[in-house]
Amino acid sequence: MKDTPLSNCERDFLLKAIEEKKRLDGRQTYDYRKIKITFGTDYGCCFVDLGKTRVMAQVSSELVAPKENRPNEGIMFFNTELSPLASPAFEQGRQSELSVKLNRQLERCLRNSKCIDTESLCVVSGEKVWQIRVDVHMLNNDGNLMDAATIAAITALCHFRRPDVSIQGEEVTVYSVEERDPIPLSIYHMPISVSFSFFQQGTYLLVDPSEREERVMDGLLMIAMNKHREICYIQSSGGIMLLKEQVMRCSKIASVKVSEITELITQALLNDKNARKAGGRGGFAESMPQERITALKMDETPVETTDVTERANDIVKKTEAPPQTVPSPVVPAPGVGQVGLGLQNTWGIEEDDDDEEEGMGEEDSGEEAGGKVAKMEVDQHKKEQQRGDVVEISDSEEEEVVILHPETPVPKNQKGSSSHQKGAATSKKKQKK
Amino acid sequence: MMEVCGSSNVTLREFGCEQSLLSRPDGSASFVQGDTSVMAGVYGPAEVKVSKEIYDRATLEVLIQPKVGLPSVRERSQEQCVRETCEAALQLSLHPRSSLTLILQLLHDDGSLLSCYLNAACMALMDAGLPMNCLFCGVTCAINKEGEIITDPTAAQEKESRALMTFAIDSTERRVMMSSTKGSFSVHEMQRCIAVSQKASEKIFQFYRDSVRRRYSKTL
Amino acid sequence: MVILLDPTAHLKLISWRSFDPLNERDLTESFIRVDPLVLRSARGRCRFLPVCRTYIAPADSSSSTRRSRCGTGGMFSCLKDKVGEVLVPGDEFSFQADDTISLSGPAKPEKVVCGPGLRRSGDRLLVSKSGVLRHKQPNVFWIDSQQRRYVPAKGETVIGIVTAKSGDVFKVDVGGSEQASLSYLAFEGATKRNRPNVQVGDLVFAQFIIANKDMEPELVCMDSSGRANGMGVFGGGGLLFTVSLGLVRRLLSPHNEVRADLEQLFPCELVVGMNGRVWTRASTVQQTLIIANLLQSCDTMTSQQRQQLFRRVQQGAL
Repeated sequence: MKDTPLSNCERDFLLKAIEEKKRLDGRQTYDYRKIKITFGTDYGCCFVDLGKTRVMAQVSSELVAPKENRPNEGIMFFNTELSPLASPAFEQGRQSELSVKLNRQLERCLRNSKCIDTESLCVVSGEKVWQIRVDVHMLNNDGNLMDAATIAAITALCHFRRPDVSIQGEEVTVYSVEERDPIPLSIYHMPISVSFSFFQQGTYLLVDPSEREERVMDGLLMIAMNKHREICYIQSSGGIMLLKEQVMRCSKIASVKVSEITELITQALLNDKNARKAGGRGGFAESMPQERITALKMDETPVETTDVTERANDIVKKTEAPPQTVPSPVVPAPGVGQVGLGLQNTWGIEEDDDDEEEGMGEEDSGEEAGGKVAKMEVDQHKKEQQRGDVVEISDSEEEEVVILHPETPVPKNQKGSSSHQKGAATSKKKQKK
Repeated sequence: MMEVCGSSNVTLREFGCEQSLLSRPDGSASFVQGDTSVMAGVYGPAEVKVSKEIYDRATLEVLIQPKVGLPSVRERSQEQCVRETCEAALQLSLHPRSSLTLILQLLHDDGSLLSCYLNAACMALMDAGLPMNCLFCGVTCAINKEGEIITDPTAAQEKESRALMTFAIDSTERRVMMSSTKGSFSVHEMQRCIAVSQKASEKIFQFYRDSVRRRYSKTL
Repeated sequence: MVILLDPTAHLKLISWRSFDPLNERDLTESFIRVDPLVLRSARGRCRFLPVCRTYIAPADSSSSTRRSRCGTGGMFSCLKDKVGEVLVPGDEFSFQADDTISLSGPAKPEKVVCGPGLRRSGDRLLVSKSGVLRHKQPNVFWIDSQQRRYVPAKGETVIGIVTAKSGDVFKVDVGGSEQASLSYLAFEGATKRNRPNVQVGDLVFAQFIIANKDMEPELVCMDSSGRANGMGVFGGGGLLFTVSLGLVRRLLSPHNEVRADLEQLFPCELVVGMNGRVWTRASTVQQTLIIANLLQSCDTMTSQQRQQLFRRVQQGAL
């Protein structure tokens, strides 16, 4: 499916609005949209709403063999899924340019910045390490997927707990959640990316572009930073020339935004921890906005089952037992076995030979009743059939007869009942011509 | 042979739904049953690929996205179940040579997943305003070792059950539109499960109606 | 009698005008042309760009559609009872509500015209969309829903985006399942020599001349007498945004409250396409944005909430 095209008028209006420092949703130049972080029921599941953009991240772990060149380190694996849910332009199961780009950026932001202690993920050196897999699903694309994805991924990583293991000699035991409390990952710092979009060759700058703004922007600068103001990763795309001052200014803005977002994430994690400790139910069911008129919830409801058993018995009683359908096999022709009733063979019979077919049908039934062999040979040339015993395949002389004396019913007189049909067929043929 | 079913287990967990929560799809819904939750989005009637075009009706595609990794055989079979149910409920012949895409994203699995997929699909289709003959809902029943019927089982209950059945029930005559079963059971047990599902479906249909009523409450 | 516009012929959406609940005109009136709707508010400041309105009576369109008639007894009252109620797909009305002939009542057969969301199946009337049942005097019923995807219908005016020029036609995206074609000759005053100036990415306000499920939809930018009548290329300096189809219909119905509230705010131009696209332009960028945001939030507000919000805007809260 294609995305809705962008009209010239939208483009012009957006650029004009940006010149006047106005944005479509009423934000200021440096404003982020509202960020909402919610957690799923299990550990390592995080939803991030950035305005209307919505992203889900799920972290999972698995014991695998380490890479040969790094036997003491766990493996981080990132997978970005651009589900068609997010935009009609996204297709399932195809690695689009955008998904590769996002995946690569996520890897560079979270793996290459060494924010996770991969050495602590080693179980047996050179043999078994934890592989931490981060699946990021885009659920709704309203611009700035990258920022939402990094927030979701790092929050999910902070939230995740891996199962505890113990090593006794050669044996590795993985404990389930019930046996031993799972262990959180050790995270050194939280890199968070902040996107800046540039318009009119870098004259205007906006933080957190929305989908329509992304469509008209000239270039994008992405700065990933942690709250200690360390830049973890920086990328500029779109082919705009930026001045040193611009990059410096952006990094200053980024440091402010990153500290705000980090604060938000810490608060969200703390809230979730408290809720879990208090035994309250977390998860998606609780995060559903109750006040919206588009949402409704119903409490646990009993289902009345008073007459269920009777009804079931009734139905079973009323249903007749299926008839025994294993008759003795019929042998319609040598080498052919048939069980049950089959359809009549209509091979080679044309639609316009109706009368002929009827006639034959009678004949056939008579034959079958007699219990005789009902083998039929179809002569494709003439569309006629003959008795099994009297097989005549190529009868060119008859065709001659037909051509020479089409009207005379000579063949009928000469031959038996079967040749009567021949005559009928051939005379029909003549009519068709 | 006939056991009395324990009435304590015949309950539906708390369930909820939110409609049109995503801005991009033409219709969307999230459905929650206990801890199981699914998000659904619908596009359509939209442009269709030439290879998938059907001359006299719309092409319905159902995609199920698991949380981790790529869709596997399990997802494919669930897609098939949901697609066939939706095809029966939708009036596809009204939009020939177009495509309808239904995307179901798993958010959390805690049992009765297929029925949750079906319910989310129905709400999303309704939100998209696609012409339908009837509504449908999914009910999962489990039969445990003692022969008791458990409706809307959790993952733990599913694991301990002897048989698991999911039925799609239509809203007009409460008929079974689709069934998917696992494990072994007698004819009696199946008929009882169907009867229970039909009873349970009434609660769900009432819920559908209530949520639509709530949604339009401001434009009455 | 029940006249059902056969939904398979896409008549269900044919000229929504004819289903206007507040429109007093009789449906039997054949094809009335109304001048471009140029509304002036009480203060004479608000101008709405021509919104081409065509009244297509069922009689006019009968040649292209099948209509089925059926005897009915209690159908009308049955439907009437449910007006204003929320219905969901699968709900049905039976034709044979009462077989007894009332001696005192009028013997005149009843006619019911069914709009979007209602569909006839045998001797029953089925609801196929969820929404509120609406009624317009004397006998028109339809379902009001908050759908977002547009399905083209003949006679409706829409806002399209030109996506390509191919030979003699422009390809226009209208948000439906297929791109519509627009001939370059279908503009006012256009000839083979004098081609209209249309660029890819331009907005056009156009009317469907062909729209059914089996054919490629076709648009024109002029009416039957060859006049532009408000249609054509437009859109300089304004903003395009999308709202639900239900809101668009509400906006276009005569004496609409939302529009009346909007007129109180500040002068603006508004082009409303039946496909859910709305274009607006006010004197400043800020005002244009305010109008766009107000309209987008109208679907989920009661009329009191809306009036409150509009009053706040008027007092300069934004």
